[in-house]
Amino acid sequence: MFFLVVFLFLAFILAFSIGSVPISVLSVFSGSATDVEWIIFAEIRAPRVILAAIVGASLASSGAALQGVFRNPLGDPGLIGVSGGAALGAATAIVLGSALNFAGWLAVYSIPLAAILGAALVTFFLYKFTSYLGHFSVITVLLVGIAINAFSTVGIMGFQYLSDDAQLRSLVFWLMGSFARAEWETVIPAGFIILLGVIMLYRQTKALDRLQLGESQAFHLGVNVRKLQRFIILLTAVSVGVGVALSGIVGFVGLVVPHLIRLTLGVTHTILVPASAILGAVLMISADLASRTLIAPIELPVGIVTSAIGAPFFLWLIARAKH
Amino acid sequence: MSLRAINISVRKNNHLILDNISISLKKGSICSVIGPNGAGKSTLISALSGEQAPDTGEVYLENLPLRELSSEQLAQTRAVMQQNNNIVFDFSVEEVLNMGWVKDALGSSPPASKAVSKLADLCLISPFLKRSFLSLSGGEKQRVQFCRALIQIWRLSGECDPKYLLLDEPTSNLDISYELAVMKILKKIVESGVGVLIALHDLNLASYFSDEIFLLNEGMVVASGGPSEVIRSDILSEVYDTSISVEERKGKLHVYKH
Repeated sequence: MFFLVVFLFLAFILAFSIGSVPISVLSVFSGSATDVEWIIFAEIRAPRVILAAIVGASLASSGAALQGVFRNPLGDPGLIGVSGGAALGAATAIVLGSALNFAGWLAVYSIPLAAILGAALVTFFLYKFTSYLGHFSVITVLLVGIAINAFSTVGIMGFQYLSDDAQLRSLVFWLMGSFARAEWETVIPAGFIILLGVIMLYRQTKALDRLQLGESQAFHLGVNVRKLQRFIILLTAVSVGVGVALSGIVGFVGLVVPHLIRLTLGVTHTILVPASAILGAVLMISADLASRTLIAPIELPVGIVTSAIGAPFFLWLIARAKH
Repeated sequence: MSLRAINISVRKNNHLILDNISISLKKGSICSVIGPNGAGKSTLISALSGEQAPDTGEVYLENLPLRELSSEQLAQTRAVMQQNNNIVFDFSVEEVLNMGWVKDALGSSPPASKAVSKLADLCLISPFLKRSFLSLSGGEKQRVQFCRALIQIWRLSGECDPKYLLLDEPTSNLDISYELAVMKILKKIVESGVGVLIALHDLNLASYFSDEIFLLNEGMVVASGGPSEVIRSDILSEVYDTSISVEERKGKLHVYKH
């Protein structure tokens, strides 16, 4: 855990320093940086790195908690349809936004707001639909998630078909994920929400551990199982929805990070959830650093970097699970 | 002071699993539930634990209806051990045991770890405290779950609130020596005022160790009372549909199958 915090610190320093304009972090904090360096640091690089960190923390801690709720190591925030809902929201704003001609400030926020709205609608729908069915089972949530994902895919394909060249490019770029659009106005509130989400998840970790003994054994140990499952699914939906709204779709972090923690630090959720949050932040900062430096000056979408690493890792996990 | 079910019936998928059963578990006694497969033993334990709400009738814990108590309140008065050992992630035995602490939220405090090692000694699982739970055999897993249930009703502060232990076939995978060890531990625990309800398929174990026995068949109580009232060849032969004889030796009843 201590090493993870050190890694996080190093990742921040490295990501603050390296870029098209190298900046010395020391000079920034001692006040000896030039105006240009200061502006690049404060207006471009710092919000970007911090956005990468909070999105990584949100995806990884949500992944860890959802894997606990589903009692399945393949659980992922994408699975319950929240990312899909956010993507459909963003696609709507990208393609229809120019037609609707939003006022100036709204135009800037229209994509993240639409994505949050999409994620929130999916969350609300999950809540209502499971209430309507009268029982809350994880199987139902998974099946509903699959249906929502299919629906979002259809919607996004529809918008891709309707969009003109510029919109299509913007849409594809969003779907691949990027932290390049980071601004303090959105990063700060998102950071608060996600940090609060991680803290609230942490408070449920003992109950999550007991859930691993099985739903009825967890009940016998004093856990209100239905309430816990519902709470965690809604909480992760909000946290992931906010993150995805600002960064686009970034795959595999929620799946892979908790596994790395389980292999190294153990499976108790009291450690797993906070450690995943930190490692998620470290990996996301690193992935973003790689995406903007590997073939500079061209920037790779960060989703390409995480999926390129995540997909083979996922295969390895499946192979390992067979033994 | 008791855990009582009064005229409870439970229906699942339109099939009557428990049919108007009344049962009372007193503090400081061992009460066995026996009966053929599908008689309703597990469902009865589930209903007494508060997990399965009965369709009719009511379960009372010290005169309070069970359904008015939260899962947290229930967890502090009774521990349940079930037959299912299905854990996905790779927890250590010690971590599984520590999940048993529900009242004293002191999982890692020195008095708690002292109590864990004492109970682990008692349950003969000390040698594999650090091992992975998933690597254990069925019988070893069962001993760990048994120990976890004991931890749940253990109190570091020594207070004496009423406590119950509901065990669903805790010895089904154990060899003879551990089977006896578990039953002897239960005898000892009962002396401290705990009420133990135990579903058993081994009729001899039930006969040797129970203060009271309930014989279930097709969701109904067919016979109940002390061992001498239930462990009778005529009753058992009819319920189990095989010829069963009972002999008394050294003051204990022994059951033989033919």
